[in-house]
Amino acid sequence: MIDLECRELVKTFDRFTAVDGVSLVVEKGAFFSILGPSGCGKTTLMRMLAGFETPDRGEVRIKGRSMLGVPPNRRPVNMVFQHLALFPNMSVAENVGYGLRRRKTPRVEIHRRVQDVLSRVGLGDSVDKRIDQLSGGQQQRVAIARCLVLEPDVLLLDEPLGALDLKLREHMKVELKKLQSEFGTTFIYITHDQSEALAMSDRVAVMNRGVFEQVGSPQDLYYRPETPFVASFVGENNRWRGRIVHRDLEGRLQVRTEQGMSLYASAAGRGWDRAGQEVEVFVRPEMISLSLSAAHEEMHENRLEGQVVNILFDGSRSQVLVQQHGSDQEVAVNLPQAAEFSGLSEGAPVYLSWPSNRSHAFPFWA
Amino acid sequence: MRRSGFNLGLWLLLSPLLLWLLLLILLPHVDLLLISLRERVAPREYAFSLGNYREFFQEPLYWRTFARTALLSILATALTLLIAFPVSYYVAKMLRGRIKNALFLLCLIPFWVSELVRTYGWMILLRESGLVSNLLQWSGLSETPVELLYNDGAITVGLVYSAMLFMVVPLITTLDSLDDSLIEAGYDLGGSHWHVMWEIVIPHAMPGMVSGCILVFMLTLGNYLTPTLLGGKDSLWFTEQIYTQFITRFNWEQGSAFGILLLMLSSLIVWLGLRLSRQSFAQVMS
Repeated sequence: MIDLECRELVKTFDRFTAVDGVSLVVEKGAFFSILGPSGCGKTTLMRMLAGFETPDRGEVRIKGRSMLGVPPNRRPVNMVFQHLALFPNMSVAENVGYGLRRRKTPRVEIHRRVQDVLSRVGLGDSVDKRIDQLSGGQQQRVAIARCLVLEPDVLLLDEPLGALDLKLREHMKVELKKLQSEFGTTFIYITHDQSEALAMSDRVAVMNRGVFEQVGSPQDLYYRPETPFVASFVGENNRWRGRIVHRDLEGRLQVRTEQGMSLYASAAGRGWDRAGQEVEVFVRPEMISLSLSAAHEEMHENRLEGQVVNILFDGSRSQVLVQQHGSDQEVAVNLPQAAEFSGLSEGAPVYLSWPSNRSHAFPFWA
Repeated sequence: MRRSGFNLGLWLLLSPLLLWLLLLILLPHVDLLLISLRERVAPREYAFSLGNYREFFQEPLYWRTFARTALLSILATALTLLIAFPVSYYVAKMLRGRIKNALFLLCLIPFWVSELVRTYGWMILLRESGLVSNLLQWSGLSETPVELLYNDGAITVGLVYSAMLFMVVPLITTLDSLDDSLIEAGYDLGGSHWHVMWEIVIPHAMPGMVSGCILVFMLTLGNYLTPTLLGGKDSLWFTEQIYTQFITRFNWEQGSAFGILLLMLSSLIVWLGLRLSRQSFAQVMS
């Protein structure tokens, strides 16, 4: 069952095209994220779904019904705003009951449903509090409860965690995902934070300059990026620029980098990978294995020697910056937690290796 | 640094304000009160008396003028609010950038000329041989010249016009501070224009509305020029009574009593307004 469908949506402001032909289909009960840098058009797209902007071309359909000309207050869609937009002159219960009062729900039923939804989000005892008496996380839950009490077909969330501090943000990620599966409402979530999108979503669309670069599961985006933008925006990367020397029968490319190093990588997409083509090769720090000796059973096709330039300690996410011999390029590698690396210091010689199917080559059009 | 009880710098900075309050506000009012409470028994001889206040309540012309002034001022304030609110909402919430500033400036421009000139402007429009009268005759709506001046309608129009700015400015300021996403959230959750206005915009704009109303009401109640020019001889505005007592009759005692009564009336009505709108004076004036 499809809850939301967009066809070829276009929106321009003056001469700037904010959304340029976006199509998307979201199934009922899905957690769908739109991930992109600021200014990529994701907020404009969201506002078209909510009805605050009219698309220049294209159509939004919710549960098969066209939303053309339907004002925001008549759409089966509710939105959690970036800064929550809770009404400061109303209590928690009045905020949550606002939408029900608009529908002329009987007073007794409003009271029951407000109480019910607030206890489901864990705020059962804050009903009569004022908004400014709540913490950031509690306000967040009021904003979500205020929408969910109306049982919308689709809930839109516009970077709702942006204003929270790191600790609370991590906590709310889990909370949001839990709420979504409990209520079974379709969530469309906008964010520029890849870890939010990857952790919570069933499907993610990566948006850049008004178009969707790739739509897929978080695993697809992470392991099988289709464009250089997706590869660089989702997760961290080491990059090399070079030219294709050879392409073997399995589609593996041999690339000669600008520094004169030979790399093996798999081609993203088809039909462009001829010898001589200029390419960019992406490898994630966590895909590279680090060892202290040259003879190691885990050696892969791609090998590299260097010395440690810097150790960036960050607990389990610590990284080592390694400078390649005979080049000034630094390569970031995840630091394994094994005991043998605990004594690693600056200047120590290390050996790096990674398999060709974990490095992705994209055509580079100068 | 030396910390003493007497901070010279602070007192020097405060002195213009304190002098202004003391010499121009407090002293005249105290004097006014004292003068109003005396009676001339012989040349240059005065005695304490409440006679001036008794006179006010015994002479129907005085207290009827007083009540009429209060009611017309409240009416003019309400009309000003009614006209200024949509204008301010449009400027503050619907417009962006240069056009917004331009429109705001347009609201200001009439106040660059003196009130006298602006009132003469209204007289040119409304008098018997004026623009509106000629227009009505030309369009066939009236056979003879129409006198539109010298009635309560003309006074109200003039008062609303001359007070408009003092309503528009506080309203635009408070409406400007209302986050657009609150309005959008109001619509998003199913509210109609009416609901969003009534439950979100107006509660937010309340301090601005009340402070605008206080300003406009005070200015209107104490206005002399507009009622006199547009209302003519029979305008019966209370400030005219005060003027008559002081200037025409040389009865300073009676005039002072009227002045004190007017001050009490305006304070009472402002206090009532604040109570009814559940606003505090400090909040409204911030």
